[in-house]
Amino acid sequence: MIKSYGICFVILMYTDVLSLGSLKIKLKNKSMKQVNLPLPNVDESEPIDIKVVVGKNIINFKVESFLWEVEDELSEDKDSTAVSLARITRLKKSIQNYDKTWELLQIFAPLENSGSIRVLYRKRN
Amino acid sequence: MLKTKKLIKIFRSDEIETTALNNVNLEIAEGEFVAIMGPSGCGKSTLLNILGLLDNPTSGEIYFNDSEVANYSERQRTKLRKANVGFVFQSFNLIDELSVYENVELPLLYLKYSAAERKKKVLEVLEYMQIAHRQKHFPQQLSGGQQQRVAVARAVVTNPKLILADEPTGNLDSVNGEDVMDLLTQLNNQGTTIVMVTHSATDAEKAHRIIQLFDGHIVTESIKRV
Repeated sequence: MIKSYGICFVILMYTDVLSLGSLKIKLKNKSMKQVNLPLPNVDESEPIDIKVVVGKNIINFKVESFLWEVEDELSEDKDSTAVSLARITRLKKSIQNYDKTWELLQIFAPLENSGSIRVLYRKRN
Repeated sequence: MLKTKKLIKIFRSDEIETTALNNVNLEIAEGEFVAIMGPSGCGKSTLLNILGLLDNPTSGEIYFNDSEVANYSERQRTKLRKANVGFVFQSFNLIDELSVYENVELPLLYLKYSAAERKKKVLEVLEYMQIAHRQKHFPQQLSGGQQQRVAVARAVVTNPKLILADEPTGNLDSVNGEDVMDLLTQLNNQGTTIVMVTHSATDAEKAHRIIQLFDGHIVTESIKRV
């Protein structure tokens, strides 16, 4: 049984086939611009790779997972402002240091009490 | 055209203090199409309202065409807004008691255009938005897509230099949403600067530059591939 983990937004143009792991979906609507996928119940820290086949072209998407927990960085000052700043700083560094062959598309809101935050990337041509 | 320096916005209630914007430094050039993205509650709409002088920052500076406007009086802000800025909202914000024609005419009345000038401009923009045939209808008689076309018509009828759009496709189906995005793109191609808040990565793709906001901070900016 597959449990839904969340929704991933994927941008598509004239998509023929969408593959998620071994799952392949044939798409007939040539004008479709976007597909929402209910994902299997995966570990929140695991990156998710998505391959979209458009005729002979392949577009690769990745839902990356960055560490969102910052307790190790904070000493005694653990008020909400300090936590927020530490998280933002860590997120900025993660994005800045990420492989530049990938283009950031969207930052998703982290789940409550989640230790990681999801970011959607698309492989540059 | 627009610039902010160390912009901070704090909302305070009796017990809670929420920092909606934290040291936002931003520069938007004339003719640009900029999308501001981020999850709900990250400060997108707050930023847009401050850029449009609908709200005041707690601290920081805002420059509109090199003039510092954060400390403008309400009267000065209104004057600057009416002459330069058009707004498009997710929920259209049309006046139900006024017809399509009257809704679009309203900004021109505030700017004291003559009746003949108003008629010419309103009909021109309604034709351009392909909604002229509905000019006598009231908003509730129109579909969501048509209502947003009217809202865009109202925003552009004064020929503003800047359009601020807050989730303009948020209440529309994908077809109507795409139409509205095409309209905004056409307006931008004709020189109008556009700043758009959106949740939609698809809509953001139409912009030249995408700013990612998170917890009131600009986390990253990306220039769109050409």
